Amino acid sequence: LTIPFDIIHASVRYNEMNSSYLKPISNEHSIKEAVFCLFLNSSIPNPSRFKTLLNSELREFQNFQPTSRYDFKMDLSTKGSNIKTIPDVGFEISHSENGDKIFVIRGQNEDIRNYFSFHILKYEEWKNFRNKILNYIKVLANFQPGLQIVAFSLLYIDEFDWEPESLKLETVFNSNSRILPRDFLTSQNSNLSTTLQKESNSFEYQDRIDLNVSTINRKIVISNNLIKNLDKEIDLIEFTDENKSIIEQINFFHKFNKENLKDLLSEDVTKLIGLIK
Amino acid sequence: MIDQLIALCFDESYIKAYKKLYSKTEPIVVKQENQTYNLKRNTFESIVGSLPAISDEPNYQFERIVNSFKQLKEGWAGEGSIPTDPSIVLRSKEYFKKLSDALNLNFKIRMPDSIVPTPYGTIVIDWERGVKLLSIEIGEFESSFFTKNIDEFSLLSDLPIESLTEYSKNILENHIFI
Repeated sequence: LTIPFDIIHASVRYNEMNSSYLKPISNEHSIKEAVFCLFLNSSIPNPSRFKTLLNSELREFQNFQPTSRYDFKMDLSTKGSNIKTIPDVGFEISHSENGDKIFVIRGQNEDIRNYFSFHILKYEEWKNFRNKILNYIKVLANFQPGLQIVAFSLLYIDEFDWEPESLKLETVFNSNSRILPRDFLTSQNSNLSTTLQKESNSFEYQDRIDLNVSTINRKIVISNNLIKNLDKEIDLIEFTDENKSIIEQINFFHKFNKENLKDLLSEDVTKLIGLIK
Repeated sequence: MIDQLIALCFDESYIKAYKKLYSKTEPIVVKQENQTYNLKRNTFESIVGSLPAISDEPNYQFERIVNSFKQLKEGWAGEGSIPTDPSIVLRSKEYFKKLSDALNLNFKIRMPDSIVPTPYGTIVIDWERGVKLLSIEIGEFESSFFTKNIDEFSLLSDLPIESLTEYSKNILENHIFI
């Protein structure tokens, strides 16, 4: 009995000379998930209150889920330990289509960080995603005034799989890449991680790339997280489409992710995922 | 003191990671409050360190797979085979979510080794470890539970989701995820 997994992915033949078929996660692109994150300088008060937004500004979202955290306790006298649940440390608001989550907003208070994150799981287009995020930030800022942002990040996760069997990495990745070591192109089951502090026109940011190739699962995953640590905290309410500096910075991250992919991937693959026409 | 404290909690790889992270700036604060120790640090690296991606979470991956079964048509696996009813998809999601919540205190849920629709409309979920097997079959009104090479249980049928979750949790924690 075989599962018709081809109902999940549409196969795209990309190289007549190659015996393998590389399949991006979507027909139009390879983006499995994009996440925009705002890191806050204080915790989000009473996260369960955000449920009321589903009856007002966030009506398009169907589901609200409160989240809890686990506190690890240790007794030195007995060397035993126990775990306590701490309720109401965050929330997840999700919008689904045919049962699949396609857009999620999370607010989370963790031990060492507090954040709002915006996840798109059915990516279509940057401007649409960006404008949605800015709109939702406005809703959250009006609902809970006073929160301040210390850093923000944009994460893209691109994914490919292939069939039937072997795949030459030289055909997928760029042999002249500035990021990839030459040995990588002849490797198998490989992980590559880099975190670089960079500067462009006095704009400092971190560029983090995690590249994973698994010939066992026949999967390639490229995660690129671009992070900006703000010089000065800004109010959540100031993170709007009227703030030109902010718009420029997040647009820069979006463009820079494309540049990274163009550098990492071969010309055939960049054409396959629509980065080059 | 801190080394002893961490050594009691974590294995060697965690100790190395903690030392690397905490050796950079201000000293770590170890606060004793009714034998509870809080290790806190607000370095930039730890704040933005590992971002949560929903697509990596087992619950999301499980839901994507079982949702895809709703697209099956009559006769998809030969004559007489029927598609998976949406109510069975919903029950399987309910089961996985409850199991995931129940397990979280001690173990994180792991994706099953296989999730398959059957020609008679049910969904079978298997976890394996060596020769040990836990197999769950979710139907419209009843579900069954089967284990292989695990002493305490074998085949139980007509179970409500709550019992199924409890039995599964027991087997996974004691035989499969260890």
